[in-house]
Amino acid sequence: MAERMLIEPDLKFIKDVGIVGGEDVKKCYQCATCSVVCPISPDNKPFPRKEMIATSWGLKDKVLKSADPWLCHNCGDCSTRCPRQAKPGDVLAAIRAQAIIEYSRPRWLAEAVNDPKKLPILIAIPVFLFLVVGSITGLLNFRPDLSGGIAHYKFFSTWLVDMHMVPAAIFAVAVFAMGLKRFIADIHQNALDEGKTDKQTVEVGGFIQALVRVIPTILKHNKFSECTENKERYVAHLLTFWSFVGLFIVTSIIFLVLYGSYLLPTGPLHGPWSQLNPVKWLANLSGIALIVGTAIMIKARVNKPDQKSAYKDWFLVYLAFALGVTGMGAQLTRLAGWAEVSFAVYFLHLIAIWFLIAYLPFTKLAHLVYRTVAMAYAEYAGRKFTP
Amino acid sequence: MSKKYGVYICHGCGIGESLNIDKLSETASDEGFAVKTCPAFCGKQGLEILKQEVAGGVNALVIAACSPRVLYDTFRFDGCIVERVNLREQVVWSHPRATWPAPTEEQKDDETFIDHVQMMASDYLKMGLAKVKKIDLPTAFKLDALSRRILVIGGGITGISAAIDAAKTGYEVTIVEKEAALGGNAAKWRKQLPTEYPFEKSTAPVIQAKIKELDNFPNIQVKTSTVVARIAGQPGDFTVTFKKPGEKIEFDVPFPLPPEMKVDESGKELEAEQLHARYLEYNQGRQDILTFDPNGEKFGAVVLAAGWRPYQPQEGEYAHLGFGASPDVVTNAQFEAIAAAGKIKRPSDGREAKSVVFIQSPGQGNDQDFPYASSVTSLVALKQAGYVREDYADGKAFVIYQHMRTPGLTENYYKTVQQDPGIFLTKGQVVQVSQNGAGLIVNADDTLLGQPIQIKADMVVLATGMVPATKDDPVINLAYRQGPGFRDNAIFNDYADSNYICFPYETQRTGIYAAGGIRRSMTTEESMEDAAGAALKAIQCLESVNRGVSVHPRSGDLTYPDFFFQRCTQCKRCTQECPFGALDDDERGTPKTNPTRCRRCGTCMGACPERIINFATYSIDSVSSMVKAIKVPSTDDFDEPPLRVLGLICENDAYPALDIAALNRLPWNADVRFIPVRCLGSVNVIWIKDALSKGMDGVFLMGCKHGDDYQCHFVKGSELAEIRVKKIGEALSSLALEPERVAHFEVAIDEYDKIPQMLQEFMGTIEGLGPNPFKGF
Amino acid sequence: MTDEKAAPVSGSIMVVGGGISGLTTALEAAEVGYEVFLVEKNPYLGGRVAQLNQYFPKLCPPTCGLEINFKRIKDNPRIKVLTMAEVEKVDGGPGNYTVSVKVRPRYVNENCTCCGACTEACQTEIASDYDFGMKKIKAAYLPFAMAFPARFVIDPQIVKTEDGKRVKEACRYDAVELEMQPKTIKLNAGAIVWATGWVPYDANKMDRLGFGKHPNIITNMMMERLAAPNGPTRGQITRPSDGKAPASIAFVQCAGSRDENYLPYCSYICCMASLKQTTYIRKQYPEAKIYIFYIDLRAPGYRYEKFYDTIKQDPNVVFIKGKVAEVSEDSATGNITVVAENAVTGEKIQQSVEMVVLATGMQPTAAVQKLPAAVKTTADGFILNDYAAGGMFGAGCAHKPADVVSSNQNATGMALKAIQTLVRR
Repeated sequence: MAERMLIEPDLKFIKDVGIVGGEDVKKCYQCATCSVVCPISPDNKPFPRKEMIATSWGLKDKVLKSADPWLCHNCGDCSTRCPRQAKPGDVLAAIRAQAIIEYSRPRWLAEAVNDPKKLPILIAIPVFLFLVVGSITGLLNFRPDLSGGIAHYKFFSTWLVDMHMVPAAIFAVAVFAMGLKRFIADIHQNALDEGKTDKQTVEVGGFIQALVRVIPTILKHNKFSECTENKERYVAHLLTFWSFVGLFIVTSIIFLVLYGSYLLPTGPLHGPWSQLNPVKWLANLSGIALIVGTAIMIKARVNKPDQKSAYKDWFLVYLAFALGVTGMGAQLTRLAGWAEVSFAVYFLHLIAIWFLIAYLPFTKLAHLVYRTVAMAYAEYAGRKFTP
Repeated sequence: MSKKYGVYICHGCGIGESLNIDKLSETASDEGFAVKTCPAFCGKQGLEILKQEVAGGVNALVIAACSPRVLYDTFRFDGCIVERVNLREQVVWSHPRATWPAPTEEQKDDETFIDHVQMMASDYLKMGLAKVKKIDLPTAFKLDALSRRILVIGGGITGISAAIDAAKTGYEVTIVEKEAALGGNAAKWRKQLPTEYPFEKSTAPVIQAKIKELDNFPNIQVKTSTVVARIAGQPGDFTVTFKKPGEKIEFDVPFPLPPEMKVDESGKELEAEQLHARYLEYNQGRQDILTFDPNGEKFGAVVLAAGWRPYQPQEGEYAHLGFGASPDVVTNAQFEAIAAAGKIKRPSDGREAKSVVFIQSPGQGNDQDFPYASSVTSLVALKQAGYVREDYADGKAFVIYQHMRTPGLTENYYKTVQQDPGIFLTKGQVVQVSQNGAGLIVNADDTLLGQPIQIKADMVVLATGMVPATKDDPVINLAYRQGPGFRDNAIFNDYADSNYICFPYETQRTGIYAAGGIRRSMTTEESMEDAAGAALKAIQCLESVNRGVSVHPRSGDLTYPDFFFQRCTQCKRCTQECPFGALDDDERGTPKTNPTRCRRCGTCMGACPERIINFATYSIDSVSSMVKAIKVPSTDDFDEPPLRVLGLICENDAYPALDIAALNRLPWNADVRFIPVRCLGSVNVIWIKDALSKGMDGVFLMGCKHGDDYQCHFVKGSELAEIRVKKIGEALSSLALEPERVAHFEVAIDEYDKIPQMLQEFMGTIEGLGPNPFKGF
Repeated sequence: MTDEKAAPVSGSIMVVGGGISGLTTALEAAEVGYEVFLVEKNPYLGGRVAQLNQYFPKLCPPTCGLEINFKRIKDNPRIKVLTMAEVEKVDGGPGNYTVSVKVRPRYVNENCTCCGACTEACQTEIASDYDFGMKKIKAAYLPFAMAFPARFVIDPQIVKTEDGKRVKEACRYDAVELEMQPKTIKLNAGAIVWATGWVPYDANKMDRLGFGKHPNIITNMMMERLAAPNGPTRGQITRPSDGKAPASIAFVQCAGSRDENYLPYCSYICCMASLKQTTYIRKQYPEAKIYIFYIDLRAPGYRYEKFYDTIKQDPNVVFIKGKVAEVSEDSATGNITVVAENAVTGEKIQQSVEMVVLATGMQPTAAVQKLPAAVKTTADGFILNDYAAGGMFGAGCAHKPADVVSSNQNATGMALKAIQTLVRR
């Protein structure tokens, strides 16, 4: 038997979890219905029953430093079946939100991102950067010559774009790297304490292999398809997920082509690309997928009041939605020939992108990193997790 | 009364097809009875006949038809004795002609032909005739003076509620409370459990409002700092002596001699006089029970609401929980006292107790709660956890339970309390509570937290239970020969009870009805509700006494035991064996009857060796005559005479069971004859002797289960019967008769399907023994 | 003290429902000296307890206490019993109600001698409600052997048929009246006690517990009938699917109770009932494995705890803290697999058993059938008593979930509350 745990309830943690959607956790009377109805919970030390009591007892470390809350795909089956309406699904979501804050540095930024009052400032930052740097460097041109047709780079130089986006990306990666280091160490220790694994250490090779094994599951969204509750989330999440993949590919190609083409005698190849270009097809396809996917999510959240949606949820879906709409909007207005409007929309689009990249480790979207790692660890640790 | 008899034999429901009615009528007419027959006496025409008969002066009717359990109102004729001979169920339906063939035309006059079913029918008819000859219409017993005042013992929430409920119904009530003030336990709390839907929040105690409410009732008298010294007499006419607690007075109730004092050095039973002498010396300075206090107050019935006391663990009983070792480990009652006094402080050093662990089960490998615990102890733990939170914003309360027992609608209370962020609940087994500097450390295993846990606590509270007052003390102090308290209370775990599932208010003492914590652990809400029930029973008892009828279970029975004292030998058996302590004997041992204490079971009648105790409708003679009315065939009648066995069966369970067997057409041995008795306790051995000396081959008693979970409506009847049967066994061997000829069977009312088999087996034994040698004498 | 202080015996009390609570209220009031109308919708008295095999914790047959109560009715002309009767309308107020009672035709009159000829003649068979449809009975029947009143009933569906004629001809005491019509009678009462009792919660509602889909999943009330000597199997506990003697049985506690999706409250009796039923099984199958899945085992109080303790001594009774939330059937064997997490060990259990008993809870009758009177109830249909207002009261399980002991206590108290209403006038 694992050694005796000294109980020191953290009342603030219970409160914090409540704020981000887990306020019903205390209604739980430990019947363990949730652990049984969960389609993906393992047989050995299943969740979320144990997370429910640990949270209602304010045992912060026990829940934040565990991989299990990340294995949950928030399908909502447990919340629907809970005889006490304690909403285990929402509680796990709240725990994940807390974990993201816990593992991301700087802490103040993490808290700011999850605090609605700070939103204006967060938006002000990129706006300010773009305008100031743009006007100093002159890379932001409000009176561009549009004789060769409307092109966004004439208004907002690609240099200007990338001198903001690239550092933001590097920053995000760094934050994740620091977080994951602690995260992996913690979830392994927790697995040992709770007897969820027989692996004594986390050795890199095995872990990578495990990662490779779970990737297909993630790409195929198998876990979601097991959901009996809100099925539409499966489609929505799949669309959104793949749209991001698509857009990532498109952006990368354009990035390479652009800076590669500087070597060409003809000079750099700037957009817009022809609508006949397959890359363009992929771009548009992904754009539409993103808009549709996020739209479904918003609709779903509005229609499911029993599933509590916190600021963190709205924050992300709206951001992603905005990303899609502004992107698509910038293109359509350009084709329509409304230069000013198009430039304005494009400006918003850029803000959205920067926003997404720079704040990525602090938003709910960080789950794509933590969950992937957690799933990989579960696979590695031998939690009979894959169905 | 002068009787005019009439015998009415019904053809209906297969009786006519199976039996030779003319032959049957002869048996009656031969004895000089006027006989009428009819296809169906329950039909219009039949009832018309009966009405005419009654109009014509017939007042003792023997109706040979169906079981008395059916058509009870059809055959009710006020002012008449009606004896129902159960030909249909227990003769015809249970003995199909297919198995016991009727005589064919040529056999009709063949004397040697044995028609079992016809014999049975004529036996039962003759038994019925014999009975009506011997019984009379009862006349109600009336007290000279009836007191309708109700005494309520205990001035807690139950007692006060009972008093108010009785007063509202128009009765005079007196409450006695041993403490200087009313309120009892309910007045010692900071808050109390919710008393009404939705049962979500604990409230301020309701007791004070209740006490105030008493002012609206001039017909309620309150005596505080008072206890009952003795209750003498009988329901409707109790003489009660009160005294100050601890006072010694001449009317303190005397106690019966303990067994060891009833024998001399050589261990042999003392003579009556010697016993009495010892008794007087044992109760030095106390008046005998038969001496009534001239200054005593009159009451008609008693509500016993003496309540409960908190369980106090023995020295070192819960050492592993640190009880006794640390002053900061307390019982829930001690904790309540601390909470009621103000903010919760540690007894050891008066420091604020901000972390408190509530332990619901002593653990040690068992998931049982503390002794006398109940849902109340679970609810109280939740309530007291709330105290910690209301006293300290950063307070923490941990409840470690094995089973959270908040049944019914109190589940709402559990749900509400749970949601306090500072209250933590888990199933678990506390293995150790130990000192940790100034504080305590609680270790628990098998929790829901996935691993053994350790909690730093300022205080630990044990959820100990509620002990009924009757465990420590008789409380009622009855001036009864059997003793001042309830007898054999141990089988009821010292709760004042006798039939707690079906008839919760019936105690073993008539006219005394228990309510509240003295019956079982109850919340305030349940106690107030319970009080109403006990108040009703007390009122009901008064009104029954006023009408001169018995109370439960023979409610409405007008008969009562009648003693022929001239022949009494002062053997005291009736006094000792009465399950309800109805009889008191004087110094010579002559019984004094208290008819309104009596439940009419007839146990005294069964106990009396001189057979001087009888009821108007049920007597030694009436049953003896029935036994003698049974024809015992001998070799003079037949070459191979059939056996005859008598079954004395309980009318409450065994008799209905036989009817049901018959209704299901389950046949049983045709050589058995049944006589229903009020209770096996009323079976007098003379009946068994009569049967055997008459040549019957065996006798058995069939009645309810006894023991801890007895089903006897008169508590001890079935048990006493078995003892008597054992005794008679010895007597038989002296008569050179095998003791196996007399047996005792236990049967539950739903075991009708097993009875035929039981009978068959007994008959097997008898056949093995061969016929009774006294046959034919 | 003299007689004029006597409680004024005026006005009558109506008790609606002839189960154990109604019987108790009616008898206790009548034995004080009041006139009582006892209105029961079934053709017999006894209600739910009449369907039970034994009472916990004494393991004694309910018919034992019922027989005494029936005897008390027989000996007490103050009680008027109306069976197959339902209250339609209540007018007036405390102390003076006018109650319309609709009496359904029994098609058998007071001439019935219980000879049983009609049953023999009848050919139509119907499912017995008394046995929860586990048994077919003739359409002319006595509800059960100990039924009170002891009078046969004819099912409406054969009244206009050949069978109806046959039954009528078979009766030699012209007790069969096929032209009997429903009638509504008006009764005056000073107080009304609603002892309308409870219905077993419909197990079909718990879609995940497989009742109705898999034959070897039964309810606890069905188990009572299976174990009863006068039940569909004459007391033999066997599997519905194939009549096999079960070698393993699982009890699913809180099947619907303590569940906001079904019954938010605790039904009070189910834990003790399951413990009791383990003794039924043990008596017949000394080797059978018994699994009890619970959230909390509610055996409160000295006596119930003591009873639970005796059951625990049985090594083949296994207790698991964890609610069954999933069941599946092996179509080949008809065996059932129940799934739960043992919350103490943190292991998910897939237990395969031959038979499953759902410990379904009690739902107040008022929740499924609105009371025809202005009585306040909780959201779940339990009657709220307003003693200050008086007049009408809920008793027994119509008032709150309760065991037989508590029901009898409560019902006795309500008799007094009713009497108070009359006295107050």
